[in-house]
Amino acid sequence: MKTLVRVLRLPRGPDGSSRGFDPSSARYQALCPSTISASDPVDCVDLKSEQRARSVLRERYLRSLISMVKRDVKFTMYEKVKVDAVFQASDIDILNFQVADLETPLGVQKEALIRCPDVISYSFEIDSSKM
Amino acid sequence: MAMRQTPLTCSGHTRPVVDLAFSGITPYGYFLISACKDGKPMLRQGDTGDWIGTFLGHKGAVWGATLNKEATKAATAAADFTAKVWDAVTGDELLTLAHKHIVKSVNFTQDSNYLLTGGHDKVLRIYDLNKPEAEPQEISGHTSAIKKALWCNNDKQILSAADDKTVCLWDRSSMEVVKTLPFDASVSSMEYIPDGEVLVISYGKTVAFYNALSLELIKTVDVPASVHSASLHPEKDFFVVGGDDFKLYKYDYSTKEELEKAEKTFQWPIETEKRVPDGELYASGSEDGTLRLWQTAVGKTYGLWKCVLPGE
Repeated sequence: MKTLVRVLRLPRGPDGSSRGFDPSSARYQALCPSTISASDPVDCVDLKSEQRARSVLRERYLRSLISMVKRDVKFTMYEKVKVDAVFQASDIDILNFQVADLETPLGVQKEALIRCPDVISYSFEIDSSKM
Repeated sequence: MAMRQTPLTCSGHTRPVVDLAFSGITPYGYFLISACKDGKPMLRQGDTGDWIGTFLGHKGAVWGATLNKEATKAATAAADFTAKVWDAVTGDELLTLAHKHIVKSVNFTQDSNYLLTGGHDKVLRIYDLNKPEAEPQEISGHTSAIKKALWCNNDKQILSAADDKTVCLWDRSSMEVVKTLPFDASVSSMEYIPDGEVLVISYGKTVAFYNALSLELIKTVDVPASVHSASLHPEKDFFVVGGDDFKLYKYDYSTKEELEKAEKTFQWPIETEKRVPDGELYASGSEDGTLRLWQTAVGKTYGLWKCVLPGE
C-alpha cells in the first residue's frame, strides 16, 4: 500500500481582513519605493524619520475620516461627477466609503457605497466650534 | 517504499479558477497568480502556496492573469472589458486598459515593457507600458474571440488561439500573419516554452506539441478525456493534462506513457494547470475554486513536502 507524502503544514490562505501584500515582508521592504520624497533605504536614520512621518500622516488621515462621520461631504469624481452625501464609514483598505443621502441626478439615494478609486477629491467642513 | 502524491490545497477563491501563471525565479522565490471568476485574482508564494495578497479592483470575472519574470508586475484580463496592470509587490493597481469587450488573455514581454491583450473583440493589442496614454497597436485577423495570446521567439512574434479553431503566428513588426494552424476542435489551451521553442496545444482529447518557430508538428498524444489544459515540464521530461473527467494526468514526454493519475476528491473538472519555473511542482486550478500544488518527484523534500525516510 502506498504511503502518503508527509507535509509540514498546509498552505496559508487569505487572512480575511485585508487584501494582503504585507509591507513588513522582506520583498516589500526591498522593492517598494518610498512614496515620501527620495530617501536612501539603506540609511537607517532617514528610514526611521520617514517611517515616523508616515505614521503621523496616516494617523492624521484616519482621524480625518473619523471626524468626517455624519458630516456632509462633497465628492468630485471622474466623468465630471460632483455629488454630496453624508459620510458614514470607510472599509479597512479605503476602497469603499459608505454614505447616506447621496444626492444624484436621479434623486437621493438613502444608502450607497462610493468606490474610492472613482473619487478624485472630497471636501467637508470641520465643525470649528469643537476645535 | 512507494509514495502517494499529497497535493497541497490552497483555498481562498470562491468561484472557478480559470487561469494560472508562474513568475520566473526571483531572489525571493517564485510566485503564482490565479485568475478566478470571483473577480479577485490572488498572488501566492510559488513553492508553498501561501497566500500573499489579492488584487482588488476588477468588477467582473477575471479570465486571464500573468506575472512578469521578476514578479514585480501582474496583469489581469477580465469580463469587465478591462485589462489591468498591477504592482505585484504592493498589490496596487497601476493601469486600467479599457477594451471594447471581454478580455481573455494578457502577456508581458520579457522586458516587461509591453503588454499583449486578446479577447472577445477579436483584436490583439500591444500596449507600451511606458506610454500608457498612447493608443495600443492593433492586430486584426481572427474571426472569433481570442482565447489566448502569447509572445514568442524573443518577443519578435505573437501566437494567438481563437474560437475560430485556429492558432496564428504573427510577426510583431509587420503585424502580419506568418502562419495559421487550423484544428478540428476548439483549442482549449496553449502554452509556450521559450527554452527549446515548444508550443503545447490541447484540443478535443489531444495534446499536440509543435515547434514554436516553424509551427511544425512534433508529436500528438491522445488522452482518455477532453482536455481542459496541458503543460510541459521545462526539461521536457513530462507533461500534465487536466481533463473534464475530473482527473489530472502526468505523461512521459518521450514515450507518451501515462505515469500518474490523480483522482480528484471533489466534483469539478480541472480548468487549468501550469508547470513551475524550476520544474519541481505543478499547479492545478479547479472549478471548485481551489488550487492544488503537486510534486514532480513524489516524496522529495521541497517546499512544504517532507521526505520521510524509513524508520523516521
